[in-house]
Amino acid sequence: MWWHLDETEEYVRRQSVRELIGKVIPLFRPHARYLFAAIGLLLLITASQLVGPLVLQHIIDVNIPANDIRGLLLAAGFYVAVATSGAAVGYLQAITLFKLGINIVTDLKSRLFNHVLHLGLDFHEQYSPGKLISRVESDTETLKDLFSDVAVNLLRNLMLFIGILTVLCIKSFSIAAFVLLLVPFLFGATFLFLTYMRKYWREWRAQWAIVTGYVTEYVQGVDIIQQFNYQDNARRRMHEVNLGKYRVEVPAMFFEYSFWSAFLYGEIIAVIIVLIIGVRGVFAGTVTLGVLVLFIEYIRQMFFPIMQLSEQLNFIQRSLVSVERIFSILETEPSVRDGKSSSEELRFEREIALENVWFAYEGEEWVLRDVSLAIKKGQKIALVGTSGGGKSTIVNLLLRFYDPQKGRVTVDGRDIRDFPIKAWRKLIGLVLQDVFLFPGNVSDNLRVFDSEVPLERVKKASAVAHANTVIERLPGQYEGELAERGVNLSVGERQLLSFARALVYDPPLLVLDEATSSVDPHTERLVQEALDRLLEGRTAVIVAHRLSTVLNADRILLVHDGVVAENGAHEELLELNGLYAKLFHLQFADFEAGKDENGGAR
Amino acid sequence: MKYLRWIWHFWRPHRTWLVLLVFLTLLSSAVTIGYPLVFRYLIDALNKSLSAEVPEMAGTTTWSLVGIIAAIGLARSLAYLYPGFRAMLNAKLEMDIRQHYFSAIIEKGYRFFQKFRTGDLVTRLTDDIGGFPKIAWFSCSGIFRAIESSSKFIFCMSFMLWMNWQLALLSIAPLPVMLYIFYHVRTALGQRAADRQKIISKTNESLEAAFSGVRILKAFRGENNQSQEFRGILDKRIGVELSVIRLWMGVWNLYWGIEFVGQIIVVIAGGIMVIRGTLTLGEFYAFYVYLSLLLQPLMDIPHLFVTSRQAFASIDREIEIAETPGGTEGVYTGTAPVGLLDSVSLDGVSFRYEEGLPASLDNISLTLRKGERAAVVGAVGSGKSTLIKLVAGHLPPSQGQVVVNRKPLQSYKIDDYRNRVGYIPQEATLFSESVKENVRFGREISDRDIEESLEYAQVKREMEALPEGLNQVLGQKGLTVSGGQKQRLAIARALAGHPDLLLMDDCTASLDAENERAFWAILAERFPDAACLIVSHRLATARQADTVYVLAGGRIVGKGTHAELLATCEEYRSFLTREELKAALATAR
Repeated sequence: MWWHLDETEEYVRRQSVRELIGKVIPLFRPHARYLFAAIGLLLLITASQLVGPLVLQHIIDVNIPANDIRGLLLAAGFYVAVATSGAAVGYLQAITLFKLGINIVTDLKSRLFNHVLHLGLDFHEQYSPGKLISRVESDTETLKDLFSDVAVNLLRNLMLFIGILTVLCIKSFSIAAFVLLLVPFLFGATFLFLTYMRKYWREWRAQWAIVTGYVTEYVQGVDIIQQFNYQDNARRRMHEVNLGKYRVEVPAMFFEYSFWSAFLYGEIIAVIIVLIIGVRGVFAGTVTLGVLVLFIEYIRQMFFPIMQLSEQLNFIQRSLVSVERIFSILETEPSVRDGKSSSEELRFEREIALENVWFAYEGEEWVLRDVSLAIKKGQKIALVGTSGGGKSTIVNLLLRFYDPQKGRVTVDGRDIRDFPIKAWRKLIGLVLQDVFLFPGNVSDNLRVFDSEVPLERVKKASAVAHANTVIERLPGQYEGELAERGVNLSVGERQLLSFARALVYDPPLLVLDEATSSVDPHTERLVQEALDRLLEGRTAVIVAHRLSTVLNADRILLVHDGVVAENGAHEELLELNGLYAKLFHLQFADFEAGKDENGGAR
Repeated sequence: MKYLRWIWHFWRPHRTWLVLLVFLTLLSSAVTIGYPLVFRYLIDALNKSLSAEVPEMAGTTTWSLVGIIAAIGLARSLAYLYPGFRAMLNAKLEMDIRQHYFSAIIEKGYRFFQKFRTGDLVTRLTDDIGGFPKIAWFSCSGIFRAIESSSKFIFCMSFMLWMNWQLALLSIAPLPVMLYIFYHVRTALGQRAADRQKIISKTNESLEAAFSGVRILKAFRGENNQSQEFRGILDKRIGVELSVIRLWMGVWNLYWGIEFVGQIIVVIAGGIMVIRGTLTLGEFYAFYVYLSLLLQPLMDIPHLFVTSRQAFASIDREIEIAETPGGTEGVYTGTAPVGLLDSVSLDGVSFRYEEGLPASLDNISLTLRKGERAAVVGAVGSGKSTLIKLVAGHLPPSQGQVVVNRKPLQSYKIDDYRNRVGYIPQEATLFSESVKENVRFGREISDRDIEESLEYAQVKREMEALPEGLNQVLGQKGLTVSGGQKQRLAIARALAGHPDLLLMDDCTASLDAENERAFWAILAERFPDAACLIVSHRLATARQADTVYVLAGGRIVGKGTHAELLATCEEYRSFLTREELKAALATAR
């Protein structure tokens, strides 16, 4: 199947086939029973497939010359019995194998999924959700096909082929010997053919990528194309690119079909051999007419398995790429790891601090440079600054989405890296600007799928966050399904839900990235009230976008260009008349005036 | 029917190939059927000779049979090329269809591109057309395979009936029953396949949500719980998939059953007939073979029905491209040639992207004269880009008119007008061509002019430093250039056409202050008569403009020189302070 485009083939580090097989085999171990059963059944099936022509031979050689209708019926009956049980066994085997495949793949899929979820955000920044989906879903499905279908059919074809040759040798070695002579040629030719085709396929994929690339480019640049009246040129180029693909594709396909066409002439040659030697044998009495028919019939059936074999080998080779990709993810270690200390030792009584923290997402491009700051228990800290200054990086470090390269984040003087990640995160309630809702019902969203959290607690948290009125209006209330990404809720309502979510575990520390999107005045009031309640009695780090938040904060940190540039209460900073004062006028003066800059145009 | 007519439209230019394909169909059926006949003859001849008093067959018979087999083999080899020809026509059709819809897309207006994202259009032009089993495959291979299968079936049946109609009828007796059962099973199969599709979507949805919301999951320690949820879905999926595969295997066995029951009938009834002398041994074997040949076409045809549905869905997606209006059709149909641009103005122009949306531009009037430098300033979303696109003739006004040399733009040949306009969009677009071709962009422009305009755009030296200089291929497989270089190449592209009117959408950002000054000097020197309309955030740009327009909420709220506006326009002042502050913040270290 030459049409598959494998766009990511190059990304993965090459591993040797043996290495890959070594990784695949352990997957089978829990299901070894099925596997042995399936292979055992395979023998039976092959035997039943071989029996048809044998019965035919028997009838021609024995029953018909003897005018023995009873014997004929017996032979037919035998055929029915063998073939039916063969079919039944085949059915069982296929189902067994499918079960095997799907069980292995389901295990692998959930293992992969769980692993990916536990990998750090650096990994997730690198792989888009789309790409990850194709790893977890498509690549594992390829493996399922490999386990449950392709590999076994390959075995089956091989066994059928061997079976046919064996029976032929037994029936008449003198004829079979000549047929056997053909076999090395057939396999040799097929091997060469596959090697050639692989080159063609690669070229074909490259052409397909070029076509896709041009189409993308031209569709994106359509206004420029129209402006400069480039349409005719674009058409011509498209035609050239199309033609480039055509010129690779068509010869490749003719090559492929010519090969099979020549290959199948091998069948004709085999038949001719059988004819010349066989007919002579028939008259010499060394070969019966039935055996001749048997030969003709088997040769007719012999070539198809070889053709399939080559296709299956190909599939296996391509699915090894999937295996490679899957394991390259499974072998990726999470960049953030659990500490050794027990979670009981984790205390937050005094303060959380960043001590001389340096951080870069990549190499030496420092996003934070020697940042130190302390958050006393009970304090509310507002982070302000232009985007890209480092505010969200501080949030990322506080949550241990990343660990700093230099310096440390501490809680009551102890490095947070000493503790299990989850124990640490349990102390924090996170509210993101972009409220993310999962498919599923409301309460699952609020307790983030932890079914051990009683509904009562969810309800209580919702009430505190003013989310209860929103939820109670929904059909099904707490058990109601949310539409995709909560599109059936307004922005403000979604914010209330995310407040409730942060409250469910009653965390001592809140990390909050305030939403910038404006909501209607009524909801705005609700949000403001809920926010006040949320902050009550809690330590909070807020990436602030609201004037009121800034004014109410105990301390304001102006994060700019990777450092905490200014640090103090609102009035102090205004007096300083530095960046904060400028930013304040710029950002919040606008906000106060209620200017809406969201026009319709892009 | 609609689909067949659509397919035929693309087949028309290649219809002579139909002759070959039909011939190959017949050839392929004929050799499939003819081959077993040889053995029938052989077996009968052998049998006859064996039962003769002196069991001997003329050597010539063997050799003539060998000859016939070799000949049939050759014909068969030819017939095996048939899929190659089909594939070739698939490729031809694929090319034509892609070219057709590509041509349609590049003429579409703004509304079309609001509806379709680039990725979607790319899929429609690639996978929908060239994928398997999508349009191109179906249009030739799909259809001809159906024809081939039917013809093989008919050939097979005719031969069986001709050899021995009683046995033929007997052997296909189970067929209607099986087909009837299959017809009923198919509905169930469709249902289960739909269930399967549903649970696969659910898996994907759950994956998508988990990966997109990974921060929240981590923050709330939901990784394991989410994994369990996912496992739950997968476990359910096992059940669904098993039910599908069980049914599928059932259907498959049914097919096998058709063949098998037929074979048994042939073996028994045929065997008895041979014993009674009403059927020859050769015919007996031929029947046995034909029955196995009947199976493949029978399996193929329903499969093709399934693929046809996928292909038709893709055809619908192509038709949608053709049928979606771009919003600019029939607007600029004038034929009058455009002379040197003396003045271009907007006369009470309003524009809205969609009926019912608030106007992006509201009653704008302005005039640009030969040699005038005009700047447009305003906040994000105030309508600056829309204004430029209206002047460029990209967007048709919803109300009012674009007036060129005192006549409405609609009366002119639009290509002519565009040739006189140099438009530099906010996002520069380069194509996978050489630097030179990216600047020349299909126009008749000498290499010297290209080099000159590269120099004007202050990018020549950098481009010459590329490994292959100005012949360096950019993009895709070529070299990537920086965002700033891209912008300047776009400027060079616009300048290379010696435009009378230069429209620059916030593109001087790629020039530093010194380069910009140099650029304006060159412009004044080399293009003294060209009118310029510039969207900019820079004070320097606004300061040197003859006229500055201040845009807010789609309206012009101020017009004048920099000095005048500074004195009179509150909006302008606050805009400048904000920009200055932003600049100060950005550079503060």
